[in-house]
Amino acid sequence: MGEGRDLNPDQLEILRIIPEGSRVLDLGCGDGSLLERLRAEKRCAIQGIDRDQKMVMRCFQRGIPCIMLDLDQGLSHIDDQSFDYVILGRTFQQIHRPVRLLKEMLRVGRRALISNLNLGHWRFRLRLAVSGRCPESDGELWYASANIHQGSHRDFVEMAVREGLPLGACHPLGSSLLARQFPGLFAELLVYELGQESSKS
Amino acid sequence: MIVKEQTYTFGHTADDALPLRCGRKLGPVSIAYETWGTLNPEASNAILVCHALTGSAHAAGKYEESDKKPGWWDDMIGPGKAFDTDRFFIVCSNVLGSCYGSTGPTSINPATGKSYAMSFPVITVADMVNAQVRLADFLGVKKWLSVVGGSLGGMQALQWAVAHPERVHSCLPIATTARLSPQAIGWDWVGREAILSDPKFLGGEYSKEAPPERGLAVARMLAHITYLSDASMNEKFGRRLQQMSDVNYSFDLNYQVESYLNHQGLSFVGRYDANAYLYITRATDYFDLASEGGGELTAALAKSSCAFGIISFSSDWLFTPAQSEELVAALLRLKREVFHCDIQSDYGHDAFLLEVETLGALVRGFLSNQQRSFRHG
Repeated sequence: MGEGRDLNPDQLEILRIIPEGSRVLDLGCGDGSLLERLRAEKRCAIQGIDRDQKMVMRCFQRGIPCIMLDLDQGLSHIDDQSFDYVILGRTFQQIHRPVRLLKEMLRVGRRALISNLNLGHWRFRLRLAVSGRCPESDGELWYASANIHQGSHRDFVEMAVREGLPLGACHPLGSSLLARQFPGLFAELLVYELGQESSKS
Repeated sequence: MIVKEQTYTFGHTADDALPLRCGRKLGPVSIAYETWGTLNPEASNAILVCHALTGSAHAAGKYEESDKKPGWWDDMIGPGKAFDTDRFFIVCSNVLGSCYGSTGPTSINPATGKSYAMSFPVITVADMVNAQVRLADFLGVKKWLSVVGGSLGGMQALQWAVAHPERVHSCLPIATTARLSPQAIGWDWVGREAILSDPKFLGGEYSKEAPPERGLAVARMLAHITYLSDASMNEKFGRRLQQMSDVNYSFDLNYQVESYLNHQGLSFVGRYDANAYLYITRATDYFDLASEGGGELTAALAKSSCAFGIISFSSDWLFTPAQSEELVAALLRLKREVFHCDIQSDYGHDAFLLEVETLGALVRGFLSNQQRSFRHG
């Protein structure tokens, strides 16, 4: 244990948001680092899902409960409201029908936390303006990337409104005042809360 | 690794006999078993390995250095292997009803002095496990660190977890199912029909020298196809011909796949008993874990208290990944932590014997975490 890599800033934010003792499902949990911290530091009951065999094997080795499943198949295995929090960390953009998955997350969990890259960040805008090219968000060229549904902060918020998803707090990452004041332009990553009641954090 | 087969016998008196699901009692009952490694003083490192349909207690090692082949899971069990015999005490016992040393239809019925043959009671997976419980008592194992098995072995592991929850710390069901699909029951039926309709079957009273070999070989060939996959058969045989340049317009064997199946059928006849095959396939047909919970799989699994590591194989069409997912779904419903991996493999059902590297890594990781959390009581 404890051999996990350091958490990403959005994972640290999610770790901060989730209250002690919650029952947490992490979709696309990777090697289970976030879940491991949630269990150790917040006494959470944890469950991961990942479609990558290598990641599932890592979870087995680290004692992180994980099941192997492709999120595009939906979450039909999981009962309504069986988790307090359902996490989707930097995976939204790879889902074929992301709105369906968000609705599934709210079916199986009380609240959902989604971390997502903001293509409206000034650096992406600048790159597009200057070079006329899309961002290379996962090190692949735009046509080879697994990221098929990328959008901006504004896009995400508008999607939530249009699709009737109960959007709660948005947590822009980065300590700068600008990122907090004008997340659409200055926050590269955001964590969105979905769910009926808003959390206190 | 040199190992020797041992036998534990119980049930010499009516009181001590094994009560069976069918209502009859069986005694005396002998259970053939082998062990590897050493039981530690706290008895906290014992693992029960359950074998598949026609397997034996000989899971690893050799009886003599000169043996051609080691046990059936030798890649997995041994010093430094996934089931590390330097750390764990591994037990594998032959199932009730088999012909490999445990009491079954080939055993002598003490009441008649002759083989039981078809007078042997129809046994179930629960009965197999109840016999193993007696062996565990004898070996001084109150609680298994893990009960593990592939295929029928996985059914035994599930049965242990649900019927004897206080004695199982963790459960590793591999390439298995909570109940046979009608398709799998169908294959078993056709296989048994082949045996039963062989003129040499003689109502099960055939002699050792003249078994119903045709029927048994056909049953085995049919079953063997269900252990492979379309992809693995394509890879292994294609449409290649067996030592001929063109088909010979006859019904002899032309294709390599035919030759292979023929060989599988013949070698099986030399090593397995037809009556035992009938009894053990019937036990798998009858297996339905849900029956431990009044017909509800979730209610049955609610009786368990162990951790589960469920492993399936993507190309297994006998006990499909979807059947493993049913177990996963039921455990999630119970708010249990679930470990599940669907190993990507083309080997079909047989993958649990072949995908040693991936399976080994999963087992090793799962066991070391389970060992840390083991408690008696």
